[in-house]
Amino acid sequence: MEGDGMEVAALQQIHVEVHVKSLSTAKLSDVRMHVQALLNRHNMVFGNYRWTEFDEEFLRKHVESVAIVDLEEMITQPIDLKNCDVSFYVFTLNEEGPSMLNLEEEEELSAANHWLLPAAEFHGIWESLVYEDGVKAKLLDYVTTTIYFSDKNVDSNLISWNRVVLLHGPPGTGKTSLCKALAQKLSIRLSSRYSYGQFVEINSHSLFSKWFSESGKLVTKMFQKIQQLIEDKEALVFVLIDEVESLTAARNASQAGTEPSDAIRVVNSVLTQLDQIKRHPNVVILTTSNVTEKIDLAFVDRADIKQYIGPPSEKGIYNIYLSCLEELMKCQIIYPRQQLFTMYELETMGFAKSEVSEHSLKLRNIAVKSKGLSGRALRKLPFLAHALFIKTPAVTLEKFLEAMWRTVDKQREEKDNLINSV
Amino acid sequence: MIPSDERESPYVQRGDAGRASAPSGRDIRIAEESSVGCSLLRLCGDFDDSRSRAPSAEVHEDVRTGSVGTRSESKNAAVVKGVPVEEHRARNTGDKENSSEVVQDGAEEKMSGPDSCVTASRNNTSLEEQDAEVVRKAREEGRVDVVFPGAVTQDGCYRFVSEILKCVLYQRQQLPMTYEQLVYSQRQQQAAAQEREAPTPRPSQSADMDQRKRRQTLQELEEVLQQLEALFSLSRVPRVLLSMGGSVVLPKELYEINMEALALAAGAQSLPTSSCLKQLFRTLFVADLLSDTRPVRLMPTTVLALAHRECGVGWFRPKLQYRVPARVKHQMIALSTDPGACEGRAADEPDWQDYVWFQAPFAIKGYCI
Repeated sequence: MEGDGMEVAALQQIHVEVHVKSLSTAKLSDVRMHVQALLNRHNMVFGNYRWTEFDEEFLRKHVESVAIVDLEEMITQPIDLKNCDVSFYVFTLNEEGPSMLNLEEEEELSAANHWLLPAAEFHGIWESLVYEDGVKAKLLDYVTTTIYFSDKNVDSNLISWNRVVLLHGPPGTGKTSLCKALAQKLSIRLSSRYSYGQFVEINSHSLFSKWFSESGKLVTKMFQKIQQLIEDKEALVFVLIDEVESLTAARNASQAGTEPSDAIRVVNSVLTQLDQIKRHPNVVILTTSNVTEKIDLAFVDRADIKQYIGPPSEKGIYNIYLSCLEELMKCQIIYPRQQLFTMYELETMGFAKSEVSEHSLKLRNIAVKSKGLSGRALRKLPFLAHALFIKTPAVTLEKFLEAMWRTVDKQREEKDNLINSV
Repeated sequence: MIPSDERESPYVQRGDAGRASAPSGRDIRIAEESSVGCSLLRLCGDFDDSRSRAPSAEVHEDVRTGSVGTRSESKNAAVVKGVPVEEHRARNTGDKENSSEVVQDGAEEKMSGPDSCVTASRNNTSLEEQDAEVVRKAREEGRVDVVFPGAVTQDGCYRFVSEILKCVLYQRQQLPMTYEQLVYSQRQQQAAAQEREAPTPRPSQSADMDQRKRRQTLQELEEVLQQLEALFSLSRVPRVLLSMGGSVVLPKELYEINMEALALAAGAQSLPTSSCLKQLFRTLFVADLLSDTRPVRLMPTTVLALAHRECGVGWFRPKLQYRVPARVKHQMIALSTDPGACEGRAADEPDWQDYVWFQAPFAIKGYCI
């Protein structure tokens, strides 16, 4: 693999993702060569950048976009690509939707959804998720490390790692989306090692049988299916168990008699199956939960990374709003287009009030006011603002910000009403 | 029978042109065959045997004689002279071709008739042993080898694939009746609907649903077939995969049609497609590759084809990363040309390096009643 990251690299790592059109049949080496030529022409970058229009015929025909991604946001000086360790990741998106995995022949309900990665459905999620500095990078580094460890055949009896990630936190903070985005990202990053990625989303309710004592077997069956996928060494398999507390409810709770013994079997089954799967180098298990205190300790212990995903900070909210407004300006719902600064740019300006920064500062005030709303609520706020207060096909930025301000008020009011009525 | 498809008719003519010039290239062989002319009947007898053994073949027969019988028989009587009716029927069932072509075939029966017994006469003595070997191979290795005694046309390759696809769909219970029968009943229904004109009482919900599903399945299958034909006209297609159920990387069943060792030739030097089809389906029925007594659920069928990188096909999606899954039940139908039949052809073997997998953008969902 190009740019072996485990070596102590003095050079800065630059990741370049090349999104090839789905109808292109060009050879990977040709694409790489042409993108290299493109980067040679533009060898100074000022942070993350995406090219979507090209002068060259070949790139125009075969390539959707070339993007320099995942650079630190704070860049003090332009980077000269010639002095960097540049890695290319060439990928095409799979446009098919999910296929179903069934456990039993006569069962209509699917036990799991199954995507081929990189999937068109998951494209762009990674960029849309805004967290505290380093959360995404940390997760990415963690999984990359596990893969390197497996590659170098580190004895897993001496250094133990389980390939289990647990994301927990309040609802609406994008835990499930982050899992999908992470899988997508990794399947692109590791495309030179694994020819494709697979993403299996388990419907945990389907693992409970109507027959007493059968549930444990269903879990085993499920993992056997996954095992089949893992056996293909060419594939990197991600297994997502959403709301994992339903599968791994704390067993000691059942001692009080509130939990049937069948549920205990499920927990036991999951735990032992996880230990089985861990021997394979090409699988990563992603789990999410809202209520961590209810999860069985033995499971929590198996998770290597227990990442808390909290509600977004002020800065995060600002970035979320910024991306929403950019999108609305792109679609010309907000017209004419006006310049908005990033948080970083505002900070360097010392939040100085001026004509150009007026809108950005207004947006920042809205962000400060929205603190405490979940990520999901934030993403739909521009939609609500339009629906409630605008109602015309095109609007100026100023008016829209005004509407957003009022919507935040309304959201807070609704939230208070809900709490009061309980 | 079914009025021939608009799309089919040019094909028939092309096939014809090839066949009309055929005798000159095959004089020697026909002379050789004249001594064993009696084997013609022997072949037909065998074909009937295999038919009664393989239940599926019987169904095809029913289709022909049941819904189509009267017309085609009267045509037979008119056109085919001196050819045993039984032979002709065997040909029909094997070929599963449209009526227009059947008639054409009938007219040329005498010419292509002896030719089709080349294989039979050669292997007359060991036919049963051979059949046993075919059955063994199909059962143990999941592989059926069909060796044609000469080159075939590119169009012929498409016909093989399309007929195998229809056959697999029917035999694996993804269609409640054969493709021809589906088309026929669909047309009949349309005609009936047009005839009535007056607003008819709405059919019951379930019948309506049935019709819609049938129409959709037919549309999907026809689209795939049409695009396959286009693909075959753009590029050589050495392998075709029919991936059923599950996902493309882990299907429940996988059928491969391998044509790598098939010699291609233009019309004049090639075998008539219909006789190849007959040989192909005879072997398939003997091998009994497709029948499975267990009931099968409906599952999506995805067609993948290996074609040249630069062939410029727009409908199929290139899958450069695709690898044929190794861990599933993999049944292979290998079509090849007898290496002794056409010397010097192996030299122009194309470089398979430049061939990549193309996947149909949707799966054929199938339906059952």
